[in-house]
Amino acid sequence: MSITVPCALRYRDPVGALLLSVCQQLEHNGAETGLGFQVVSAFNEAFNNLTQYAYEPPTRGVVDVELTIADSELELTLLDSGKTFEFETVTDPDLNVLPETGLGIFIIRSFMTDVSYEPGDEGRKNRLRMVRRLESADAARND
Amino acid sequence: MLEFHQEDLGDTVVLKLKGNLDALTAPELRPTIDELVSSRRTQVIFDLGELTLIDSSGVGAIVSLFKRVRLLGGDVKIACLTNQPKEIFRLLRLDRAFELFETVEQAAEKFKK
Repeated sequence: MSITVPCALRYRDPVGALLLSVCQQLEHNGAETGLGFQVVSAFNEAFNNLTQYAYEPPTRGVVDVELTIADSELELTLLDSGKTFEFETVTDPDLNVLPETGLGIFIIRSFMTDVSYEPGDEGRKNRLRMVRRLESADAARND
Repeated sequence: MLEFHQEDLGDTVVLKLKGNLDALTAPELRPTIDELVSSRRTQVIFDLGELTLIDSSGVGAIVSLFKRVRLLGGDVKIACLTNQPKEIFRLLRLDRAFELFETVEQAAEKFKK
């Protein structure tokens, strides 16, 4: 599944609703409960970041959202042509101090199994790849 | 979209949120939060039973109120947490910072004790 939307917050929820629907179907077919809420939460934070940092106004770019589902994993990729982001340098927040900001990347990393970011260059877009391993509800309960 | 409704239960304020509390809508809630703090309302319950989605910006708004009310010697309690917001609260360990209740009535009762 691939969809391209303007990089603006009001386009986030229509895509999120699609993702939630797909993931809840996977849950219905045996994937662990909560998969949809977690994947959509990660997507929302990633999309939020792009709307805040990727494009300098008045530039209005787009975000490509790609979803691939295999037997054992779900891969969600966001591509943009805006400013690159120092993803790897973002450290986890100290949850003990109840931070009011800086939680987005932590949510993404926590809810997805593997997250990687490749900055783009000429002709190649920035790529945030988020993979979520698909476990059965039974396996998740036994963890 | 976010709808919110404020109700007074004696000294306690109940903020009922419906819809999404996120980067788009959290700024709409900020004036209400500021007003609660400036009027020194120190017993606040968030009724999140109809909150569909929360993101880090929404969490920031609730935590902001929590910290400011705590500085005034009060408390913020959470009622009816469910679905995606519940996942976020659990992940961010907010279920340890806030007292969570199944119903608004239970949360209000706790303020009376």
